[in-house]
Amino acid sequence: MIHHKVTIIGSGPAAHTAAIYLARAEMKPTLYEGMMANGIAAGGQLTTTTDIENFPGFPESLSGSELMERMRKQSAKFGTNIITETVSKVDLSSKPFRLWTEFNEDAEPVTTDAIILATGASAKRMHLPGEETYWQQGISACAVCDGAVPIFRNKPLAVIGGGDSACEEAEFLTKYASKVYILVRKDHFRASVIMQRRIEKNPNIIVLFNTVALEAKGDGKLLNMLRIKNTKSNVENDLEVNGLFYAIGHSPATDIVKGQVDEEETGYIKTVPGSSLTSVPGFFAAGDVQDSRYRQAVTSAGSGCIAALDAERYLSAQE
Amino acid sequence: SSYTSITKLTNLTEFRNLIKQNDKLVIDFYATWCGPCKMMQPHLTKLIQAYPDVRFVKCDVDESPDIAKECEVTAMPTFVLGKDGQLIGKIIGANPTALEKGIKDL
Repeated sequence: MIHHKVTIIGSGPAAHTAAIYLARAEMKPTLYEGMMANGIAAGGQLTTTTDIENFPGFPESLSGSELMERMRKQSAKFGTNIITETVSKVDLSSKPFRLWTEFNEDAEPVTTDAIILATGASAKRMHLPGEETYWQQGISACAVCDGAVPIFRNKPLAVIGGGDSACEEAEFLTKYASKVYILVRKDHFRASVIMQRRIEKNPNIIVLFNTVALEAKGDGKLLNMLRIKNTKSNVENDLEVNGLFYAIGHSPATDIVKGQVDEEETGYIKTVPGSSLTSVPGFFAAGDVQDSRYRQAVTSAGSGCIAALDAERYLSAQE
Repeated sequence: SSYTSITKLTNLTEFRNLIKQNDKLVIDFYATWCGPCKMMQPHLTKLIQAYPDVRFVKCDVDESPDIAKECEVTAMPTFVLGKDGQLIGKIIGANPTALEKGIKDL
């Protein structure tokens, strides 16, 4: 039977910061980074972004993947046991907690005295009519992953969303596309001023405000059209695009603990403000899985540190 | 051998010849930006060692859009399977189980 003193579930900045702190405190943490857990590569949402320019200490900027590779290396350096398997089931009803990994659900569970949940969040889909047909045939979950495929080269593409990630994806896609439309539901962006300025300056980006997508259309094989509507005038139009990318917000990855711990109405894990404490003692939450508001690499890392310190205090009180 | 040591395709003619010349073939279409593609690399190394009768090659979609176009690659990673000189199937996404099944069926 395998027992871990403290288990971290996740692979982003919150998970690795917690691991670095716990490993340096000689708590021998085990971190399950997952194999495409929640549909995202280990490293989390940062692996789907391009340059990180707002993480302090990296004035030259670096890619999201590179930042995560560095964090992973730092966790491993201090002795974190990193396992590339996805935790698929957790039982918080008794101590020690029990957990199972994907494809081993019938096996004997792993036990652990404390868990830090840092599973993050993943991009939402719209489930438009036609989306099922053209998913991965023009509709993509990840601009950075798929941008280079031939069906997007020198073609018009669309990004839906009004935040920083929509702007960033659009800017990245101009490397390949003939032009990129950003469809914004409201009459203004939610994105930061610096991103808005970049979008304004980019001649290959066209912003359509007050615009929603109604249907994804194509030739049966590949996407080639988007039915759109202006929400002010209610006029509908066809927009010729060969690619569609969503940047419409995120859902927290809480499936493995559903019903076992208190959540906010929005589905995020409820924590005591200013801490990582949840409704279950010994079960801590850090990063985007408990934060619908800030969702930054740096705030996530900070909350990972908080969770490590909370877990350490909890474990030493148990001894 | 491992994932790093397998041939990287850059030339369309070379690619067409390769299909004809191999009984069992796997082509990994990837991009350097692509996280899911990276996740597959250790799995590919295992598969390369477990199936020595299968030829594994890779193709960077950024560098060789012509080859990716010929294979109708629409998302990444995509694994294109070849058998007896012909392309017979495609596995889209970072799914080691599906890829191994595809290789077994070759």
